[in-house]
Amino acid sequence: MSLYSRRRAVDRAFGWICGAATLVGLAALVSILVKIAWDGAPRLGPSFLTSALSHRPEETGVAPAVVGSIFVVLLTMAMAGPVGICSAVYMEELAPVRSRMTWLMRQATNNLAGVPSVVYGLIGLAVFVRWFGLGASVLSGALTLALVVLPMVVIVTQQALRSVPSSYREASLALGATQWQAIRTVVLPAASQGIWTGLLLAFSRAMGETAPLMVVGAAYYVTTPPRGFGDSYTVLPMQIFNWSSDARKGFHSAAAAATLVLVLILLGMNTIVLARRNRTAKAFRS
Amino acid sequence: MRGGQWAKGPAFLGLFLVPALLCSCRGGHVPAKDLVIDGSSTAYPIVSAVADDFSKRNPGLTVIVNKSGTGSGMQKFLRGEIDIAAASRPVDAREAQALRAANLPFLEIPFAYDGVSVIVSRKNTWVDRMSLKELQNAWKQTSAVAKWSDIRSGWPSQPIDFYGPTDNHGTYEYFSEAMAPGSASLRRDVQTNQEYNAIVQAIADDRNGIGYVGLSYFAYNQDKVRAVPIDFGNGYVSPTPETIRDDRYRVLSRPLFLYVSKAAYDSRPDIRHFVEFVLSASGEDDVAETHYVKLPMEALSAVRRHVAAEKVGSVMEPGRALTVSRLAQLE
Amino acid sequence: MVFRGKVFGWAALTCAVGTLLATLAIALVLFGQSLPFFRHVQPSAFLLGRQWRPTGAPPEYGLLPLLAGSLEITLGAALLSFPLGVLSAIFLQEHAGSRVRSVLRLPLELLAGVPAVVYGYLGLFLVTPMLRSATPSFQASNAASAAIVVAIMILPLIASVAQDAIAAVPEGLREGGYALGFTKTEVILRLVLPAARSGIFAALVLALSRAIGETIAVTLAAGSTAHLTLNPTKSMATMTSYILTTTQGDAEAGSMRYLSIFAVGLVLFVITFTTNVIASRLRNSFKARLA
Repeated sequence: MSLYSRRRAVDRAFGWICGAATLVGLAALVSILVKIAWDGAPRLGPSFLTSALSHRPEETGVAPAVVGSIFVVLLTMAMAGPVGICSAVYMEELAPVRSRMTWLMRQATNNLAGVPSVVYGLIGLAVFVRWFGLGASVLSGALTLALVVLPMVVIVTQQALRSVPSSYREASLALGATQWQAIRTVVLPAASQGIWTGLLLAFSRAMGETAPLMVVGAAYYVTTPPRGFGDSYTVLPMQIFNWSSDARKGFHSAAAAATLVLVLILLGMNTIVLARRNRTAKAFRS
Repeated sequence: MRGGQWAKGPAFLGLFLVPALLCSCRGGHVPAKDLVIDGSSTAYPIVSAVADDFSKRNPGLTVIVNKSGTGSGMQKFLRGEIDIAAASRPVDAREAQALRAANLPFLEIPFAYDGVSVIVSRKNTWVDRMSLKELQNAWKQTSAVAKWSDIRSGWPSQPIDFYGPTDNHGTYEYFSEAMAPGSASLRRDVQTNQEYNAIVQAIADDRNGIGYVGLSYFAYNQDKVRAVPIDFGNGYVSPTPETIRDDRYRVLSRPLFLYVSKAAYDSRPDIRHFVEFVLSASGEDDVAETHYVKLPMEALSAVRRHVAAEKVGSVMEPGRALTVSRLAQLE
Repeated sequence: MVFRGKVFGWAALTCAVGTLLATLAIALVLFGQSLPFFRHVQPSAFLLGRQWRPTGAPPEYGLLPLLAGSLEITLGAALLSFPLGVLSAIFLQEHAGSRVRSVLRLPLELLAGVPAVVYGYLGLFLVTPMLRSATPSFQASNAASAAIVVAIMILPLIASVAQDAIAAVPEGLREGGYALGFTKTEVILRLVLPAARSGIFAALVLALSRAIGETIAVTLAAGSTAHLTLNPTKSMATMTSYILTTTQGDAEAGSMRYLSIFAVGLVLFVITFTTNVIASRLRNSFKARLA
């Protein structure tokens, strides 16, 4: 074999290896979905969604957990969303560009994003549950989750704001707008697609978080969904955890069915995110 | 250019104010009407089953059950964070002292029996049975036992792996008292876990493992683990509903309890109804369904009379000889 | 209008300062809560102790077994995931056309959205049965299954950060390589990867930081038995699983056990903080070199 054809062969083989490696991700996704659907689908029916939790695996449903998850996550987003967007607007639009403070804020945000969520759980336990005396309530859970997703909201919003061409700002300022008017009427609307993407991503992150909520005291067994911010609650991922670690096999299929519910909700959210992002990309290209 | 969403500045600011409002309206701290139960994870299967059936008959009432362990549950009961403490041992002297200091008279409600089951893996081929002496020699803190052959010659010369619940569990305290009467401390190399399911699983996989769990956790896992028959002096006894009820499974049998404060029992009909429900035929059915042991009829009616008379304090308090026969004292 | 702008400006500043303070607060809370712990346990005994027996009499708080568990699962996951992630990044950036790229990125992005508890379920009920059918000595909870599911969890992160790094390598470098008669593979291995190496390394460091903090999947898949071993067939506690399981029961406020979770949390925080700083340094130096 000539040196040239050997190099061609190596070249082609390497391409195939890289392609195969890329397919591992796809294979993992497919096997995850197949496994969960296989285990969970037989157990998943309308009554599973509407029934209360039960100690009998064949009777149990997820209604209190689904409502609890949605309750906690909506409250989380009501807190993390506005605060995150405001922080990002400050850092990108209002803060003096070269100040040490702004640099520090950016660093802080990036580092916060890397803090493990269980550590936020510890903070929630010490500060919200014990110090503020909120106990194991929806409010303390949501405050903790808000800390978890806040950096994500800030970072995605920053990126969205950065993608708005500076000519937009300059044009509106040149027309006599104040900085506030420019931000409100030009910059934020132009960045809104990206910001919504960030909020949806944060929403699905919060929806899937388990460890921090277990640390701040989400309940193992609760008969009704929460009705107020001071109520005890449980969330979908926590029931998946609890049922997966139960000895009785019946609970394993309940865990799979609950996983299927969670994954369907999250895949739904992610599909919206991806569709929106492609639309934004197209809008900027045209 | 889409994005009318943001066009309303005030609406945007309003969104920002939402969390501030949410946080401020909490100020009044409305007393929770929910029925909150925590404590023994041994009792958790029964208590959650009873709560399940109870809430079906009382829609609209929220019952919350957690399983942080008897000791942790007692602490929360003492701090007034929960309404009912489930316990796999009676209140101990320290807790009784603290409850008196907090001026918190309480009702003690035994509602089921448990037998602490000593389990080994199904893969373990040699352990057929053990005497209480052999168990004590292996588990006590000063134990020199390290290998199976140290317990009985003829057993393999393999290191023993000890497993058990963490010390916030009543089962831990109970078992350590049975293994080391008086000192109540176990050997230091026991691998502890908060979750009984994890303990069972670890033993199931480890042919050199031995450990102890509540009866229910053994009964649900009989395909993976065996309970070791134990000789308490009168022949070998396995933990079964019969041997536990008639006290043949001696020092490892014990009642499970609920504790409620007398004040709450008087002022909260939901707590009273729940306690009555636990002691009803339906509650006792849940006990059997979750593989624990129903109280015998006489004991059950004694407990019912005891509760109806609202006798405060613990009959179990003075000593730590916690066998089933102590229940007779209720009479 | 001017007034509203001012109000908004202040509100935004408050939020941004809040973010800054949050980092400080996290460090302060962890430090403050673990201070009483270190009054009873020497920091050196904590960091270098070989026994983790919080329920022993007397209790022993030697972090090494937990640290070993965390590191084994983290490094095992990285070992599996890093080559795959980098090769995927190469394929997506260098081989695939833009259409194929956007299609093949989709599964990776969806994987990134799968919550950790689902990976825990898979570790218990998919990966472990597969491992046991190959080698029966695997326990029902084992470090290997945890490493495998965490590897899948961090794959999208490695692939996307590495792809960004590869994409940032100037086109001129590649063209220079082709002009010298290099094949595509030679261009990638000899020119592109070396140029992108600190960015790719940043991907690895970020993934390590993410993996060491993973809690729920690791607790489900690896169990929570603390012992000093690197045997991947055995159940193994990590720093995160200790925090999680302890808070489920015996976190009686003020007790040593309660304080110990903050001490472990502090170690976790310091490790992830350091790795994140390293990762951002690497990325910055990468950008600076290319600029």
